Amino acid sequence: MMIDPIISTSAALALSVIFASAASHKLRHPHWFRRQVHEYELIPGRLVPAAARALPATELLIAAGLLWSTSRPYAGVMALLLVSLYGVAIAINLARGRKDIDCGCSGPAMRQPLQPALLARNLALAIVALGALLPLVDRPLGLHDSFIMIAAGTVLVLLYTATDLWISNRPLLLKLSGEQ
Amino acid sequence: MQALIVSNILLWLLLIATSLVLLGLIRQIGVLHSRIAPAGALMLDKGVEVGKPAPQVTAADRFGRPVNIGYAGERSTLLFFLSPTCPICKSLLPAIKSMNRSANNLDVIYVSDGEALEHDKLISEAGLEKSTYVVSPDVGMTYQIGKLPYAVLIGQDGTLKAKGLVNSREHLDSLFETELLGSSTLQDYIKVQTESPGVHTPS
Repeated sequence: MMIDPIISTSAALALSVIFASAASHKLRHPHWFRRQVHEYELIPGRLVPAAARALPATELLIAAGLLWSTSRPYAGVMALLLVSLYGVAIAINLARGRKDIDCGCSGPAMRQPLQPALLARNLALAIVALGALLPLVDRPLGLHDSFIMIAAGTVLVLLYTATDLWISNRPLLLKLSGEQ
Repeated sequence: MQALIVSNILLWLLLIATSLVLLGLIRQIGVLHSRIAPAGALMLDKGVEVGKPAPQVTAADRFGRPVNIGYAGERSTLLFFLSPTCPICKSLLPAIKSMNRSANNLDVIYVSDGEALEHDKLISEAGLEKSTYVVSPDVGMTYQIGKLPYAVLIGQDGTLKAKGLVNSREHLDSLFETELLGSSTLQDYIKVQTESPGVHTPS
């Protein structure tokens, strides 16, 4: 399956910004993220510090790799794998019934408990990653194409941030109405 | 063709603007949720009763100037008891500052206790340099404050008009509301309402 360069580039731009911001949260608060990795209880305690360092580094690598067209397919595959890995980690902990732990998605300022909506969010991210890794249709590109790529990337990032906020607001509302 | 390109660019720009508005709205909803978070339960109060003369204390503010509390004067006084280590107190400071600005006949006195260094940090963070800020455990002991953030409203004649634990802007406003209604607490107000004839109360 081939894909138009506009879709591929805008998806790659948006993913790059999303991964870079996720990595910056994790790198700015290393202690917080190490505790988060520990709370997921998926890997042995000895490996937690290494994983807490490796994950943001991988995110940064993906964010940079998505920007160049030669490395984009590889970075896209890595992004798809990482997003699925996070999804599996969340799903395992949801299946264990641990809805009280923090997601660790958006830094210590925006706490949100694990919830099924996060799986849907990761699925959407995986679809965007798929758009970035598929081979391109070869066609000449003009100024207008570049404009649409940047505009569509911006809209994707804004919508992703809005969705993320929306998901993290849901538990607050449930708490107010006493359903949780 | 020209028109289509212009329309396309315009639509993209408008879509970006719409997403920005959506993001802003969702952010505001989040802020609202945290503002109306459930507050502490009602508790039994100690100290001077509402409607009685307020205890008179003189304490020094952070520059060593004497501040008279509980005396009759030209303006009402709002005592806000806080501590630099209490996060809810800090979140209420903007509400108190705006109240101080909008009410003409109200003096706000911040009463606190603890390390001088932490107070300086709090004052510069919240922009309270020009406010009356008293660091003295005596005032809190006289008024028997057990929980923070606590607010006491003293009328112009030196009587204690209203007091209570304040966890949100609504609680703070309710202090002034009880003064207007002439009841010392919400419970008293409901009691008066039920006793008065002609008022329907669900039973």
